[in-house]
Amino acid sequence: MARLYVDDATADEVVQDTWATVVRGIDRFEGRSTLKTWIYGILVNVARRRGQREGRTIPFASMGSGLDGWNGAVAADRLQHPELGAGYWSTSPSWARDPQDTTLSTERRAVVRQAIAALTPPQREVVSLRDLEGWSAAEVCEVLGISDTSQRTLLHRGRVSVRRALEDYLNA
Amino acid sequence: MHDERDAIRAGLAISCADALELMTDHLEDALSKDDARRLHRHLDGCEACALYLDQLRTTITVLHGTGPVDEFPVDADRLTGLLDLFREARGRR
Repeated sequence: MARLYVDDATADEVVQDTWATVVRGIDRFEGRSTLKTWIYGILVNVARRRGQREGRTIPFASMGSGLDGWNGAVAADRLQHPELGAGYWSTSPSWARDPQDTTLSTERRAVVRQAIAALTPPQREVVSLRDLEGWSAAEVCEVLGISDTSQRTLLHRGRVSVRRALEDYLNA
Repeated sequence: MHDERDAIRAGLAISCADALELMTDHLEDALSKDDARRLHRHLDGCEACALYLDQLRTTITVLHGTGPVDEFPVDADRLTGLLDLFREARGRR
């Protein structure tokens, strides 16, 4: 998870620093959150600070909500129905190849990883925790310190972008 | 011509663009009653959006299959350092 914020070499140190902070601060753990979200909360703070210092990531807070600049789930020209007009599908969004085809699994994984890497940092955090790590919405909100609504918006935009990358790959 | 168009639009409750933006909230079970009703009505009449919703579900399945970002190999020196720290912390109590 630290690799969301820093390069591989530094990620190792981030994890080390996190455990050190956990060990020093375990007395402050009050049991209001689960131990898991408490530890990951520390990891996120350590990793964000490190990533910031290395100029690799823009801190969450300074991106505003990270929710600006949305152009919609699909390119505008896809939603241009000849009779119904703008906002309605021109043609159905079909995929030429089967996304579940096991012979594509290695390539498909690379496509998905690349798509995740291309997300905005807040979207990447949320999609990685929810869909790669399998966290609940409540855990993600707690660790990242965001509202339910923001969590869902970031999740939506992130997943939609991954779907789009998958579509481009399957129709290529 | 325009009457027919308006009738189809009304039958779909909301535009496809609006329906697409409700899909994650739908999957997260977070739609208001009114939005849920509008989305269901739209999906009943719009094959393209129903297909899109399926594709979004497939995308999530594919993401789940991609797995965690990586586990870390444990570096023995770091582990020893941590154990020392842990002992030190316990000693303080």
